Amino acid sequence: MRSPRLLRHAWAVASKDLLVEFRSRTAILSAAVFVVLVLVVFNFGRDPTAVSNVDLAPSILWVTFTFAAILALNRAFQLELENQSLDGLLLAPIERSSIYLGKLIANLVFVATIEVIGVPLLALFFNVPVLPYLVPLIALIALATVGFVAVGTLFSAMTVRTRFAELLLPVLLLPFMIPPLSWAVLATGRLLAGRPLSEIVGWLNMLAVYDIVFVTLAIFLFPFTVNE
Amino acid sequence: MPENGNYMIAAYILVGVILVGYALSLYLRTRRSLRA
Amino acid sequence: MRMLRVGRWITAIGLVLLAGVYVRALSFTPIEQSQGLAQKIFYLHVPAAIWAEMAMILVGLSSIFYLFTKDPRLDRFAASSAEVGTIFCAIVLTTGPIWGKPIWGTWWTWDARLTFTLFLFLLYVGYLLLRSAVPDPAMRARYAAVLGICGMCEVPFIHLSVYMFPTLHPMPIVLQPGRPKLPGSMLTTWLLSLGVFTLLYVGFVVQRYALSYLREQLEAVSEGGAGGGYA
Repeated sequence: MRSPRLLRHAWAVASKDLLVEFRSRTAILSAAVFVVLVLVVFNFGRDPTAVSNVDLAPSILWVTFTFAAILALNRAFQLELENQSLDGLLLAPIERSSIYLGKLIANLVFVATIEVIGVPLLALFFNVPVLPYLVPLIALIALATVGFVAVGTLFSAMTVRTRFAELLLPVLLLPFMIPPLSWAVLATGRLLAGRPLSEIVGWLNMLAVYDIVFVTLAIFLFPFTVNE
Repeated sequence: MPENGNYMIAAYILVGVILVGYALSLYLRTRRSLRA
Repeated sequence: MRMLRVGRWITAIGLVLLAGVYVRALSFTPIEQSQGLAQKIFYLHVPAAIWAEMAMILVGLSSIFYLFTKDPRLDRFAASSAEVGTIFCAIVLTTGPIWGKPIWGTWWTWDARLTFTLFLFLLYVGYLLLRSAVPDPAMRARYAAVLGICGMCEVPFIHLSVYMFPTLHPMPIVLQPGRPKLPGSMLTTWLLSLGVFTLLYVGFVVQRYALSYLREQLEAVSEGGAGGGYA
């Protein structure tokens, strides 16, 4: 069975990235600061009589999460390129898919960290009841995040070698983020408004399908982005 | 019936300009590559 | 170059026939009662939309085959179809609001089809930008193919998401153009227009393909010269 080795290698790639990331902490800090900034700005910007917190919450949440994702993605392959260690990584006796999965896992952990910070902060500052819906909310956030981080990780492997890498990635990613993002925002809105779970399940299913399709596609296509 | 002929004219002109313009762009670009 | 001549001829014929469609649509097709003259934009808008989407699917298909065969002709075709698709997409995005303003009362609505076209346009722009950002031809072809395949797979999901939008946003108030049941004369005009747009697609793609080929020849001659553009 090749899967355990694939995963082990993936985890090795991921832990290397995560170690570097958490040692320097700059990206995490920037993302965390951004979360607080968005929360503060939205709070001052709204008219409490006109817009309820629950209406704003999904947008706030997902704006911050996508920003965190793009931040993570921009750095995903940058470090390799800067240190020219991508060649080393490619020469290592591991499958290309392991590299992709490793990067994916590292990016997901990064974004998840931001999400773990963001949700409680939102609940706190905006007085939005989150606990009653915690499990479906987590499922929703997880599925949507996998959706755009999967595609983003694939694209970042390509854009990192172009000029204007940091500009190009969000431009390429935008049309791919919109379906999972729109479903996530809609579903989050319904969920936090207290709608029955049966309404949300449809969106969860679509997100799951999206994830399966694009993670599979990305695993298949990734080798073409690094083949010399 | 609503009086909106101007929109129709605008759209038809615009589409014409785009298509003819693109055709022209292709013609000029290929001609430049042929000459070179 | 023979291919180029063929392409130019097809395009020329297409443009002449387009003029014919214009005349027929504007003067010899009945005016739709509830929408008035603006409805005639439909004869240009819909065929362009069909080919805007078809072109993206063709980009995706040729990208798949390119990754398997590495045949540069497929890459040239993909690049050509993408550029032409972008043009047609732009036509849909401009005629849509021009049609929408008199009918719906606003320039833009998050109507399913218009929004879909916007996202399709973003896919195209991304594709062309990626191509122009990679100087090495082999890498460019590979990267473009990856993006093209992802784009093609994304299209059904975009369909899915935009058809949920109406539940969130209010429907347009002024007029509700449903699916018009086209009486004979209108149907004929529409079909003729579709035929012309098909012809134009072919003519444009053939010329653009020829352009790619010519540019590659030039790059090969001036080895290592400043390679720009997306060939």
